[in-house]
Amino acid sequence: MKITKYYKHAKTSGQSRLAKWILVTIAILFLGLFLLLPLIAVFTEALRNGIRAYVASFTTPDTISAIRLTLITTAIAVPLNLVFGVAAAWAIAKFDFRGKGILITLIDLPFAVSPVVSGLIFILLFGLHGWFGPWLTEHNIKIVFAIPGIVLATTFITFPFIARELIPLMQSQGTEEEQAALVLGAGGWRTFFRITLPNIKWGLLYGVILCSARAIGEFGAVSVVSGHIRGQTNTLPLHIEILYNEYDFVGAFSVASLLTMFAFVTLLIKSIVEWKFSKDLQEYSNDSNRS
Amino acid sequence: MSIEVRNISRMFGTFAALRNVSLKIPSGELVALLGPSGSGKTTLLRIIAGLDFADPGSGPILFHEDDVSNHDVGERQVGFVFQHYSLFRHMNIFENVAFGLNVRPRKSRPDKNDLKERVLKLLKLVQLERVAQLYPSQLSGGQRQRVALIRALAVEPKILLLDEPFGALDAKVRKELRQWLRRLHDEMSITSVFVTHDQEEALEVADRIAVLNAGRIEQEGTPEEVYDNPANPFVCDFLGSVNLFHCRVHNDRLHIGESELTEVSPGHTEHSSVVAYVRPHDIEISRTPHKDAIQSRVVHISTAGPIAKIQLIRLDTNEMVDAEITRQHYKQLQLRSGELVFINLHNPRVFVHDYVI
Amino acid sequence: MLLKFKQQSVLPGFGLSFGYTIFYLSLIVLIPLSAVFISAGRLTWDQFWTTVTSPRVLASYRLSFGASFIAAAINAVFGLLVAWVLVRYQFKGRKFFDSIIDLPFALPTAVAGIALTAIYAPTGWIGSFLEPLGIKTAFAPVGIVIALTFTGLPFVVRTVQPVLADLSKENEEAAASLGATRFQTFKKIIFPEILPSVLTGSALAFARAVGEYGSVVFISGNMPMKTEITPLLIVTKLEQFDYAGATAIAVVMLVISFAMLLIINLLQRWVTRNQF
Repeated sequence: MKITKYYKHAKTSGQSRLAKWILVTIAILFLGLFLLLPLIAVFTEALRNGIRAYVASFTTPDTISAIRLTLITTAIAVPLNLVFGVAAAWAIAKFDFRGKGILITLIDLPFAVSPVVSGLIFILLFGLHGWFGPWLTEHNIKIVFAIPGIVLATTFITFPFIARELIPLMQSQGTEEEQAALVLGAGGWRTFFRITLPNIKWGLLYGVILCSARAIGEFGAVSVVSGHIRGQTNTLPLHIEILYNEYDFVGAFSVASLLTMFAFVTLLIKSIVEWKFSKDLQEYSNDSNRS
Repeated sequence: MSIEVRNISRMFGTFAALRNVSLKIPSGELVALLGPSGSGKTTLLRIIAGLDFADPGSGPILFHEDDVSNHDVGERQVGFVFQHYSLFRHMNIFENVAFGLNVRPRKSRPDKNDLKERVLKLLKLVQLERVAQLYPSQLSGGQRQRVALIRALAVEPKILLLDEPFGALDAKVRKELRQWLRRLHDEMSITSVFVTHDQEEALEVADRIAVLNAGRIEQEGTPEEVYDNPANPFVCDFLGSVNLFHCRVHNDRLHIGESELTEVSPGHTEHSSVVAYVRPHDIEISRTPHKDAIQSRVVHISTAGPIAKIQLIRLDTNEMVDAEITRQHYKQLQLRSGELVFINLHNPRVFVHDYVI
Repeated sequence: MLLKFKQQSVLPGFGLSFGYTIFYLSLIVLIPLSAVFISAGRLTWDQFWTTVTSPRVLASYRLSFGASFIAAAINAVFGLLVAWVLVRYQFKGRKFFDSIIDLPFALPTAVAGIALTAIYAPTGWIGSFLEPLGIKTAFAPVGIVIALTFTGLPFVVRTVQPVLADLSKENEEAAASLGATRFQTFKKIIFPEILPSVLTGSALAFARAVGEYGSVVFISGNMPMKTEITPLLIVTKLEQFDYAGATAIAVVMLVISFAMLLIINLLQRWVTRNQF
């Protein structure tokens, strides 16, 4: 990325042009070193032995089962948190009640907890020596070191994502459109589906994407509860770890490249959503200018 | 359909938005709720609509003798126009107007062609049929206001409630729209209530005006009644600019110093000190020296507009007085800035207590 | 009347949405989290204290907090610089760089971990340059700092960016018209305005770094007393079935996390108070 064009409107003196050049160069070097280089490394390492070896690493049964488990986990955790996120945002953004600030902080809690501790809490609850451990063993139910544990830990880790996107968005939109719909005779659910939902769809989509990205990529918490049983309780990130520790670098980086591409998709959707937002925002400010 | 509210109170935390308010609105009238911000006028309107709730212990809300205070907002079947229009931004204009008809229960929902016809008819009524496929953000403020109005009217309500309907528009559009609202109201045979803080708007458009202040109705009546016979200093002051004169009453006449001024209605105690409220157009300016007039100096003259605005300063108290005279009269007088004149008062509204503005 | 829990509203669904929020929050977050504290309550104070202050654990605190602090400081400086460049300057690729800032949020930590290790290992692109100079990055504390800088990178940039964008140019122009140099203007006008957001961003990065696991375990080498971070120690204890030990350390981490959350909340209040 070479800096070829200077900002047109800024009348810059030679000195501040130099300052700009230096600052932009440092920023690009920093970002290049910390963000771009790792990306390049992932794909270089993945393709080290050629495209055939790259493709082959996706077709091993272990990789396929890891992909399957990751998708199952995501498909359960994300909808759960989606329903929660919408409900919490509706209650918090559209109503005034006491203790709202505390509730928002509580929703943010999982962000503050180390992934490892997030995994640990489910071991303490459902592990062999955990609170429900004896009962679960008696009834032959496996949660820890099995899929339910992975789903639970992932749900915990991704708990705040959608709510956090929706709460400020719905707060900024206020309640007047909903009131207008109610005056016109629409019922509660209809008002939600015809008025509220269309207005938050981009924020909702972005929340779902962020939530999914984290659900797919979660490592620490899942690592603690999974038990690392090959072909059974390995998600993609755990599979990467196993391949890496077995010195199958091409395999590890191939799987990593898959997750990297998903990260790109996440960023792309984020950019699109932000663009949509700013367009909405512009229309919104046109509103107030014109009226 | 007539509207009546009895003994409505509403507290927001420790702030009393409405204190024991009662109001009767006859069927078919166009009524203005007029007051400064924070006077409770919007709260009253929203309580009538069912968008807000009177405190427990308040009296009923009657639509044509039926108590609707326990009816949900949707069941009251009122048309409501929001201050910022609240158009559904993801629906085009046609869909916005059709919304109220579309959400009706299947039985009473008009069929597709009927619905289209009705919406187009309404759009035609406000000359917006060409923007039917556009979105709210693509419309001007005045256009949005009209869409908001016909969206409320599409469900054929018997009562139309408007919250500061022209508040966000510029002066010229505002004037056009309020005359248009008057015509629309007359055509629709509907009971309308609108909230405004603009006395000119209320005086020009409404059949009746309720003046609110600090959660109470100060006065209610026709525009002439409230303008000509304000019940108290607040109403007098709020309905237009006014000059204050501290006077004494003697033999049913106002006295300032040695000057014996205009007559007042009998009933004031002798020598009571009162405040006379006099509108600028009721100040008479004359060149002829007269002992029963207040000597003043002309400070500033502004003649741009239909009337001449004269700013004077009283020589006795150094208080400012605003007067308005016709341009014709101004030409006859040939007033100059700085010269001494004599002023007399007409139609003073006399109140015993001083009112702090 | 004053103590009413909820303001009346015409919108329906408060009972359902609020009730479900509390139910789900309790089920997924509050009850499981309280498990840690209740389990820790079974330990005696002595057991607890000996565990959380054993030399190996203390060494891990030093490493985790030290590395997290350095990484947060690096991010404070470079994050501010990046935010400044992205807000104030137009250059080719600005949009691209702006959108990849969030990469550490989107990229799984394990992927970041192995990628950084590949770069900084003695045979890696950068590691092979530094190795002859006697600088050890991967499998040393420096590597941990690098990984934590990566994971914390978006925080400062994203908290400073909006504040910087909202900053009125008029203040700067006023300062310039009064004869201030660019540097004085920055120091006296701009910096005080953005300081709260820089601190908030750094605190967020620090909080994240203290708990970080995935991106660190590959590059750190995991040598006890030397390159063993606290979260890794919890995992190690769990693998040795020392649940009591793991729980005790987890309680310490949770308490610190909650304290950080409190500090961040206060900082954020400071940020919003400074805005009009």
